[in-house]
Amino acid sequence: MKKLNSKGLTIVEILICFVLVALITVSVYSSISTFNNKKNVESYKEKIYTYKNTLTKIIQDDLIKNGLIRASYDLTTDSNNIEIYTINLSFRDGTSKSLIIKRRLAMDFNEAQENKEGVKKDDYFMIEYDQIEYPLPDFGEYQNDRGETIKDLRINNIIVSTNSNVLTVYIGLYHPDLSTRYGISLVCPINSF
Amino acid sequence: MRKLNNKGFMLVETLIVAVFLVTIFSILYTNFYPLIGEYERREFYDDIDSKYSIYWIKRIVQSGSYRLTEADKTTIDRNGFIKFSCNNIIGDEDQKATCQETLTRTGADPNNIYIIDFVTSDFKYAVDNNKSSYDEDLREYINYLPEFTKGSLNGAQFRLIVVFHNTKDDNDFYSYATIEVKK
Repeated sequence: MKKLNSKGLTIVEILICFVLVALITVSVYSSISTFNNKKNVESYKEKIYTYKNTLTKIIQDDLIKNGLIRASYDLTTDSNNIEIYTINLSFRDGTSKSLIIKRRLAMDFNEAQENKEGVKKDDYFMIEYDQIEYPLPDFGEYQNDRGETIKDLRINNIIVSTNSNVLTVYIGLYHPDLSTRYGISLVCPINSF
Repeated sequence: MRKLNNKGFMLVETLIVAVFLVTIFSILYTNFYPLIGEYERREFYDDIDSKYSIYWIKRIVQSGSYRLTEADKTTIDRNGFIKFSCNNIIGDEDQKATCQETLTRTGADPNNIYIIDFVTSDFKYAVDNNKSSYDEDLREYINYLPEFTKGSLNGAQFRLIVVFHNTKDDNDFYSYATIEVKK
């Protein structure tokens, strides 16, 4: 009968294996970590694009198909400290719709460290069009030094204008990994062309 | 009983396989890596904001008040393009102001709004023959566009190409869009 090699591995061989595996793991860790971050960022971008494209398409379709003849806007703040931008759109067919942007910003970290007293405000964002709510995609949240909830995706600036008969609405979005690169932009001439 | 070969791999065999694998992966990497850049560039081609913005410029060109003369059409045939200008709106000063404001608000670069023939081949040729007059990114976009040789289903004779200049976080970036025009 054939004689089997039953010596097994020596301690030196096992140690060499461990060292090799450790070296390979360390060398690919940074690549995998970078890849993972990139994958997360791409996933955020995809969700923002879906949200932005849906909302833009719904509003622009109305502006194009119904024809915008008048636009007005105002800014109020309610008792819950929520800023409310109301943009009223009147169309050629006699109908009118409202785009409402609601925003309440919690203090960022530096502000929260300096000002630990006073009324606490959690982040709150909502966009409504034609009485339908379009909540921002949920990317998670954390708390500042005052215990206020800060959302990872925030509405950081809102610009509304009707100068020279052109309605402009810009809703700027902020995310720590994407900065202010993305936003919802609506431009439409009023009762013209 | 048949004797088994249980010597395992020789060092040379292992090395040959390793070199073979490294070669295959390096070929794959060099071929796929440029595709990532291509995908990132195309994020700025005909995106939703540029598409709706160019739609309003198209409405201006298609309106009765925008003047596109026979001489302009001849120039498009001869040179491949003419440039769009709000000054070509006849009569109404308010409409000119609205046109200017639309360009400003959409970020359309007034020097980079081209009215070209529906089929893009003449414009591609013009850009290719005068590379120094066009930004490299714009040239890439124009190269990327199809020639549209089958013609328009809507009977459009012309096409708009617009470069949009956006600034976010003090960084400039450009997006590009095209749309057919019936005039």
